[in-house]
Amino acid sequence: MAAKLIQVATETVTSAVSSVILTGIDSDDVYMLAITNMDSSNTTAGSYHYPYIRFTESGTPNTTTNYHATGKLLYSGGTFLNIVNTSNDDIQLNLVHVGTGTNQTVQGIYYIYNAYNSSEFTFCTIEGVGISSSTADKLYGGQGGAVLIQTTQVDGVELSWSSSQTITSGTFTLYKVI
Amino acid sequence: MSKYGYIGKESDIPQQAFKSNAGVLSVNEISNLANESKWTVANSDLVLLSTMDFENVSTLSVGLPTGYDTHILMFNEFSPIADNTQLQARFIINGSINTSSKYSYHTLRNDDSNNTYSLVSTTSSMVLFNATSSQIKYSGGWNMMIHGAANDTVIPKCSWTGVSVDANGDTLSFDGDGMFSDGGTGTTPTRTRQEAIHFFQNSNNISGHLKVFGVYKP
Repeated sequence: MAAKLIQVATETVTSAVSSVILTGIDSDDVYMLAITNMDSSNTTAGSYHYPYIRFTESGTPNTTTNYHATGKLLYSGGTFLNIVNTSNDDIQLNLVHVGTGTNQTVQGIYYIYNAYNSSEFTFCTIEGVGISSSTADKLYGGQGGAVLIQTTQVDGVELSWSSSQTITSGTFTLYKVI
Repeated sequence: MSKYGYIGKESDIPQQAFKSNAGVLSVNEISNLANESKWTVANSDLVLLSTMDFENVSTLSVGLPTGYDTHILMFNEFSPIADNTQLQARFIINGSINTSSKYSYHTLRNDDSNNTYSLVSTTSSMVLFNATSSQIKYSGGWNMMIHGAANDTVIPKCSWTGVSVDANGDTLSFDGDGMFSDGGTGTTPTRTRQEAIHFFQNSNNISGHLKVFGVYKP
């Protein structure tokens, strides 16, 4: 049987928004979220902020402090770092974005498991890459995983930046793996 | 009515074939066509090779058919049945499980208590997937890519990523001991077609769901 990545939702941001919500998870299949060229309103070189993800239920982001994440931050300018988030109200996507220049954006692929099953926790694996530039371009890669410790039916994701930054550009697509 | 991107009587709707028309298909229509084997695969497509639902089994053998450079295994709701177990795998060659001590792997685990665990071997009789076995893990899911298994001239290689939480046996819970992310790579230096991969625990059984995809050989 032919298999597909079926696009269930996509949004391309061309003017600033506070967040992007993609819904359409409607089965127990594995889903894949692709983030391309996610940029922010940050204009302060050297200021750290991060892309965040929350899961949605009936289209509304779950803001409870039931998110846990862990992984490795790989850094071209030095040694790797451990990333640990416990009982947060969102998932830090393990990627640092600092830069204010062109192409200093975040990319990533995230596989989402057990989201639609209301008897299971919702999990995701994290793989991403971003560039910061306080003095020179530096590359950050993230690899890890996260979980929402709640047995609720998840139907999508919300993406945003930390520090009240807005999303100024980017393409966000949610696929069903069938 | 509208079906497969066309408006009109059902008898007028053409058969869908790859690039043969420009109908605009909905997600469900593509899914329906795929399920009816009417959605033709392009040379670069993923192909769903098999699905497996397994409950309380001691081993799991997954076929790796020829014609694909890479096989992708997607597990979800994967869970060990008992405490303190560790997932392992070997390849199957000519109908026999390869138990030679020629497997190499490096597996890495991070937890949300800021610990890192690593296991490495170049003389193992199997590939190990999780770098600790001291706690029960309820895995949300993991992906594994196997490269070159269906080719008898290259060395097979695999890589994986996964995410899991502590649990009470196979009963879903979160007991405060944390969650884990795993990644790793493995290989065995055998330039032989690997017919299947054989999963097993160091003790006790596993449950879960699996989809196996093939990436078409160009």
